[in-house]
Amino acid sequence: MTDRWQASLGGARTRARRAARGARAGAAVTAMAALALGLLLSGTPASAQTAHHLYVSNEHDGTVSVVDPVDRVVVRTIDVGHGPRGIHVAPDGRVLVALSDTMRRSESDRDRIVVIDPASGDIVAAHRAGTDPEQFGISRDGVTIYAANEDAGTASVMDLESGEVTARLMVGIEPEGVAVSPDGRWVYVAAETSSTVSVIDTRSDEVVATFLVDVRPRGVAFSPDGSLALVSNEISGTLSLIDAERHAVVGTVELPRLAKPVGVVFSPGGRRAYVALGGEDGVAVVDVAGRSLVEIVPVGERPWGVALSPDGRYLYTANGRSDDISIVDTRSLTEVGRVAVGAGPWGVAVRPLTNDG
Amino acid sequence: MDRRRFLGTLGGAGIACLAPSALLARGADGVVIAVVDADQGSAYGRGAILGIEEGERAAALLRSPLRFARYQSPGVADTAALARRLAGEGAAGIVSALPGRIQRSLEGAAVSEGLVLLDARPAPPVGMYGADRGQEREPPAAGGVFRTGVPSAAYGLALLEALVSAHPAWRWEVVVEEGAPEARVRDVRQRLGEAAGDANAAGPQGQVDARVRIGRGTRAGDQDDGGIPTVLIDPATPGPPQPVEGFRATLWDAALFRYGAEQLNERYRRRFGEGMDGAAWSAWMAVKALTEATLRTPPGAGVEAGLAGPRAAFDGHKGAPLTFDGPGGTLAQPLYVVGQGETREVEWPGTERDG
Repeated sequence: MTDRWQASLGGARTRARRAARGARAGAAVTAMAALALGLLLSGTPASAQTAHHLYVSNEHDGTVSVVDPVDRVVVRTIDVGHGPRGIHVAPDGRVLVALSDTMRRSESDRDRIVVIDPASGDIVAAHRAGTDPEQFGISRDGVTIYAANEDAGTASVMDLESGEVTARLMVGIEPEGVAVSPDGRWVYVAAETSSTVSVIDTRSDEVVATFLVDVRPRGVAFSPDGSLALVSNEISGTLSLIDAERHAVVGTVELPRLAKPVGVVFSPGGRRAYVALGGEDGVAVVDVAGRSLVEIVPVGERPWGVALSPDGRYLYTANGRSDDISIVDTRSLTEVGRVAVGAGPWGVAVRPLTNDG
Repeated sequence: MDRRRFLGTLGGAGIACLAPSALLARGADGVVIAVVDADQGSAYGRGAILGIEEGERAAALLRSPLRFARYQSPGVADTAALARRLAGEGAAGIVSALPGRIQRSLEGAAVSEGLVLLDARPAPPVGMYGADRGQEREPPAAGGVFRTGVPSAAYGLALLEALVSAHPAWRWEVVVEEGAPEARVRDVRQRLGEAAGDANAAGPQGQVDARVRIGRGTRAGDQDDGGIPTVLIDPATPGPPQPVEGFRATLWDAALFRYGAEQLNERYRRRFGEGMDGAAWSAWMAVKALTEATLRTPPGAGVEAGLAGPRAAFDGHKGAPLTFDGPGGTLAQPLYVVGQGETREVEWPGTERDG
């Protein structure tokens, strides 16, 4: 199955290589200029500490854009297949993308989690992970995937190496948001229709608790120390603050009523959270301890996916309607740049550059 | 160790068809939501069944004692006894969509027993404007009654609004029947603006592209047309105008896909083998809203606050928080006008909300 899938993507690789060649040719010329510019212009992500690439899933054209945030260019475009949404970087540096066949009537051959080798841009594996795997989380050791199956109302537990689904767990109705706690012990799966969050104990791979949050939860994130979690509630226009030890809601952060919060990420220190507001074309900056909205930073149109640079200095949003990503300086809380990507960017993941970079 | 498994069946999640005498008492075995006529013989029934199944699943995951009980339609003479029994046995509320007189009787009985009732009729016979406009009759029961549908006249207005938006160059003729509600006539004229002529005025009207007829509002009886603006396309030749073909206003359509609508449509299609329509959506929404309000209500508190409190809002897969603050306890929500390969959204209540 994997071979056939890869064979069908031959054209994609050609295109990706072309894009990569073009990017490499220009890279030498632009690198110094970019570095100099980065030193001159505040808000330009150019430091060695934050050297990384962005991987952006483009839902409407079936591609992943690889973005250099220093040069602010797309250095590669990878065809991945129908409906890429959730995107994450595994501990070994490979990039995982969930594909959902939105024209399906049941589990489709297009419903996959694909694995991208970042060095070559090739898809090296394509795993079944149940129907409509929109979002997923990766265990700390990179061995296990927890995928929300939106249509089926299940969470699939999958061995990443073999692609074998080892368990399918009943969670709420229309699950989407998935997050793994920093210690790897818990997986939260938010379900949009039932407004619930189900808690998976990764030691047993069983659902051990479920609790209500506000209406239509979309995104989930744990604080860096694992003590808290935030759940964005799209219809309520709120964030639910969760005590991640008791698995209980302990507070609510009110956002503008029609803000439609989706993607959420904590700052490295956990003091702030950044929340993509699809209805506001902005990012909410939230004081976690104060449980309050600090500011809304304008970005592109209908941001959903969010990610932070490794040092937390820059925030990136995938803007689904303006077909670009925004770069936000988290010190000045201003948008400092945009990069055009594919059609309908949905998710964004940050991959620190290593030897292949 | 083979870890492959499927935890697909939740214990106790199956639907039980309970006779009233089998109702579970609050505190002992749980709290009950009563659903009338939840069977597959109607779109309402199918929507209610999906709502029940999803509600039972949520309750099981949350380890809530919430249960659902199905009832056959009572006669008018039986509604008071049914409401009394349900109240005594700890029911949180009732979902129904009965013919007018029985529905009204059940609403009155439920309210008098302190129960909430979710009216799932797609077009409940309620006034469009409330008492201050004084043009149409009041809701048949106050407080405790919530409606997931909208007044029948709202469909006509939505259709009109969508057509005006889609065809801004059309010239319209307004035909006002004797006794038509003044507020409705005012609304229609406001929407049409300068494009509106008046068929009741003296003199030649000139060529028109479409005609809207405003009927007389019904102030009594169960078949309330509420002064429905019947939107008609006027043929170029003389003769009676023809109804608009290919357009319809609805609460829901099986082809909707934004805001998670595709997922709901798919769940319904998978369960019943057909597309979800407005009646099914209204029933599903009624059960869902009452279920959520009940699950969020602390023990001992009234579920009404969960339906209409300041933070009460519901997700109907329409992309906006839905609240029961429309006239007559109706659910404020987008309506859809479907036709000619496109779907337009029209907000209910619209501009008349502040009237």
